[in-house]
Amino acid sequence: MMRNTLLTLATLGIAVLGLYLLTQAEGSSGLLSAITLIFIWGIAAISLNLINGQLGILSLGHHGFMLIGGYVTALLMLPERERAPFRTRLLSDWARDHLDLDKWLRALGLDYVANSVDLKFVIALFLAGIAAAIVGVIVGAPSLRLKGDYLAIVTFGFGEIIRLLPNAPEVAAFTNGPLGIKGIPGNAGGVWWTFFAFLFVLWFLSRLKFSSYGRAFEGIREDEIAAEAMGVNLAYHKVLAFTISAFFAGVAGGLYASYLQSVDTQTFNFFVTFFLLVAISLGGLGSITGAVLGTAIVVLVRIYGGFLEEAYPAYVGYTGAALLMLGAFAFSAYIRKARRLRPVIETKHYIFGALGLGLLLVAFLFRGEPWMTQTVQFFGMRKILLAVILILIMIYRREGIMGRAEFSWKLVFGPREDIPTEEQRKQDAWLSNPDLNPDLQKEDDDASA
Amino acid sequence: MPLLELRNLYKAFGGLQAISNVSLTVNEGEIVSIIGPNGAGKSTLFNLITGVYRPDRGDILFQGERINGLTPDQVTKKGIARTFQNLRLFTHLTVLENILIPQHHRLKSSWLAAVLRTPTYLKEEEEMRKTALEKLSFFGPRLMSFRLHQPVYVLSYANRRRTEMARAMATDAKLLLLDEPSAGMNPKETKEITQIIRRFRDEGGYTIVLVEHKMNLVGEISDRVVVLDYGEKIAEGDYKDVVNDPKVIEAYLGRREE
Amino acid sequence: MTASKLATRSTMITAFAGLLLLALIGWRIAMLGDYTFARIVQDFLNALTLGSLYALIALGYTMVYGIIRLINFAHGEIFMLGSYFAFYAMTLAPIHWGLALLITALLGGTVLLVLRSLFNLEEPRRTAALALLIFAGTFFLLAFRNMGWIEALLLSMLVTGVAGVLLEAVAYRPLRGAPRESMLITAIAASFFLQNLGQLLFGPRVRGFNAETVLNRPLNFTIGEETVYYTGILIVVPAVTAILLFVLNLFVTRTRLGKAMRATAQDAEVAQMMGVNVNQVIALTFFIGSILAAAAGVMYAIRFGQIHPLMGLIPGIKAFTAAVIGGIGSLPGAVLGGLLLGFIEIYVVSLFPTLSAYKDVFAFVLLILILLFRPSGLVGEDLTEKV
Repeated sequence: MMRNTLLTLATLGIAVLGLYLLTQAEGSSGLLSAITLIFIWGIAAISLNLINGQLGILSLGHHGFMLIGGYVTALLMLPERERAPFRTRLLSDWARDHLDLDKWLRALGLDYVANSVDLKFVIALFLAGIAAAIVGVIVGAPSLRLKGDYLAIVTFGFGEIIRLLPNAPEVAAFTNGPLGIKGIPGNAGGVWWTFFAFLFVLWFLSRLKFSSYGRAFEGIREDEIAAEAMGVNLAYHKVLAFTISAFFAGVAGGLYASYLQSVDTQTFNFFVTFFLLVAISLGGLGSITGAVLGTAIVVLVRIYGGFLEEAYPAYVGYTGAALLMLGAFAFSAYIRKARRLRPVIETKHYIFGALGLGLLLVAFLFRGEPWMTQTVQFFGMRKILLAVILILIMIYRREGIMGRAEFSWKLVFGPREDIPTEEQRKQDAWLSNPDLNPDLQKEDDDASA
Repeated sequence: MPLLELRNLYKAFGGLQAISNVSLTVNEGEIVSIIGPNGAGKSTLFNLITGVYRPDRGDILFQGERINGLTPDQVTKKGIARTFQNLRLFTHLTVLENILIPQHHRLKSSWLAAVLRTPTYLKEEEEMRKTALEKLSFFGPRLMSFRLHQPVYVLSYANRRRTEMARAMATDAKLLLLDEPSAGMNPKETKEITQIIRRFRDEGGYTIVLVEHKMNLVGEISDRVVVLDYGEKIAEGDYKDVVNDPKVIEAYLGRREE
Repeated sequence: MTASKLATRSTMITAFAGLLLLALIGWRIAMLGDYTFARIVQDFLNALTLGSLYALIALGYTMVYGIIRLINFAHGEIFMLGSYFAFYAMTLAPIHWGLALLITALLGGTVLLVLRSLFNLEEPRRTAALALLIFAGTFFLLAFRNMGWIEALLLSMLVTGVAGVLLEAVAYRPLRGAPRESMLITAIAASFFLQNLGQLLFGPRVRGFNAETVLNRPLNFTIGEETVYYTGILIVVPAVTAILLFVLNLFVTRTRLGKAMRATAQDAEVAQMMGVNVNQVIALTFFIGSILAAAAGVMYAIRFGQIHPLMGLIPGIKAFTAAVIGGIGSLPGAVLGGLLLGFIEIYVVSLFPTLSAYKDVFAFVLLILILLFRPSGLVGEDLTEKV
């Protein structure tokens, strides 16, 4: 135990040191941005994992919670100088003047707090989380009545309603409509802020997972009816999970707003939820470690995958698509052979193989034509990649990288706990076999007819 | 005051009358068996008692208190626990976790206290673990030591049944409803379960109602036997009396051709 | 049975809501001074067209859900593909004969293979006949013909139908047995995939879709002193929809395959035991659903004059809402729901112009309300009271 704590502290120390060195290094701003985003989306992913992974309820409205958090943070933290010359055609004067955390704090006489942007952010993010959590209660309520995909659609509906509302004329009084809110201070979007926020959320939600309440959530996931029969109040726990999850989603939204230094109605759309879904499915639904890992991978794809979306001559696309199809054909045949599925190659495989060859042929035959050599912008390749990754996970490895397992030092150093050792096997035999175990033998005497 | 009292219960599903005017009294410390041919409504009765279904008519009283219409978790909190005919364990969780979850409802600490690991919460966790081990020890050393941390899906069928029963005990119930506790067990295991059920009552102080098909088990431990057929109670009493009751024989075997 | 069905709580809620709605509409009409008969007619025609389009798309959702309990998130994208296939058919053809040959070989071959397995045409003579039809027809159209909207419509329906079958084969069939949430996630992924593939292949910009002027030539007429703006498309859409529905109904009730579909929707396992090739039936369901969505896509494009790769999102959700309103799994329900939603959308915007900004929000609100309080929809069985 002592060793584990020391190891954890050591790792933290190394991380802090590494981060510090990185901030001092030249030209590291790209990498730092990526790391910051991993922290921000990591918080969002862990919070989504609470519902989708631990509680076992598919929720598709997470972008709504983040949006609320983002807007609340924006409104509260917008500094004075940004408010006055605001192109506030839509934002009402009331909102502009009164929704100002700075004003409230000074009115309360807490000037020293009001002078610290960081402290103000703590309060603002907390309030943003609370706002999202309140909505979380509403979105979570249907989970008491509905199951499975119907519930998923309802959460999706809520998420979309929340996304559409800021554009509506009446709501724009608070959100400035499609113009969004610009000029948000970026302090909470910096690498240190997000790092410590991430650590806090990680600590908080891990503690929750490994507590009796976490077990209750997982019991609901495993078998709702059994959980209820064992005394778990389904309504309370489901709504609790949604509320906590929404809270941290709101916090993540606020952090993201600070990172971008602006929010508008496009910042938090359904793609955000999809993005998080890919992250936690890839990492392993139910595993916090998995959520973080998945997020890291997905964020890196998003940031460093830009090269995929540049302008290339058209034949690159045709050839690439052809090779992908042929590759998919080969991959699928290999998997089916390995898993001994019959028939190894079906019609659909032939179709894709043929199409792949055909495309190759087209690319070759018409390689001189202008419509082949013109440059084409490869729009949306990263999103395509993410979608393909998710589909592949669902088909081939639904449990993701980590499954439901969590990281622990035991995994790295210790012996495996789930495979019985020779010693344990002997002990197991002893435990169950009355011929070997005198205690059991006594019972057996009573038991023989 | 009887521990459990069912008064003129009725339950219908669409056109099918599943339970028809069933009354039953169970006193503290008794072991009552409910038998009857398949489809007689035995599991439905359990579902009614535990709150999964609401009775159309009639009352269910537990310790004198009317519990109709309570949700299953509320019923469990009152002190009634059940096992399931087809085993509903938390398959991917460990044995220990399966035994800890039923104790969750007794937790006084809030979720925030749990996250912050307040001393009160830590003590409660400690208590829960002790209780868990205590309940598991009912089955001998079988489910202890390294088995505790194994996921339930690696356990043998008999061990799973035992875990399910330990789970029911862990809810801190007074009344245990066991739904075919020996289903799928060989004679030796059945014998063992019989002893254990008796120990539940003798050492653990539980009152037990069980649904069973194995007559030797029923005969050995029941204080009283109740027979259901087509949702009605057709006989009640001592095992010997009930087994020789012509109505019961007819229900199971049909009438002898004259 | 019927009496108890009428008396159930959720039926009463629905009836009450309906009456409230009618009262609201009546009051509003009385309040608006200028809601003339001409406007009623105008709105009616628009609503009929919009509702028909929603109905066509909703049928795809409801059929797929009825058979494999999957909400095909990607159906909106199928709708989009239908528009784009027709667009390219109309704007690109005729093309160089070599390219036409190649495309005929590839696309035609694919279509041939799929249709063969869908409709039990494995017999060599039938395959040959079908092959001749497909290859000759496609080649002719591609190489020589400047396609009109009807040819483009038919071609697009065929190709999109096949695309739907391929989607099912690649993304959904491997998950046949998986928990429904996994299938839903895959459907969402497929939806995003197709959206962005569309952006990649077709370009993200909005494109103008200029159909034959005969359809867009104004056929305005007057009622009283007001003109009702009327173009050919407002006749074509309901007419085509009616034809397709009629054919669909014939197919589902009279043919063996249609009966197999209905049987599979009720109980797939038993249907299989009765000798139904469930894989084929499911593929066929996707085929038909995609055909209808493609038809809707083409007509939608003609009606509104524009296409873009994300055009399937909002109509997709609305059509899904329509399917749920009517009762998901029920074909007449989908049609009813589609028409109803079309009418609600047009009339609400017409009667309450200030609320038009909330148009899409209403669709979602309606969806949530229906799923919460009457998940079986209007025509479906009342599921809420079951234990």
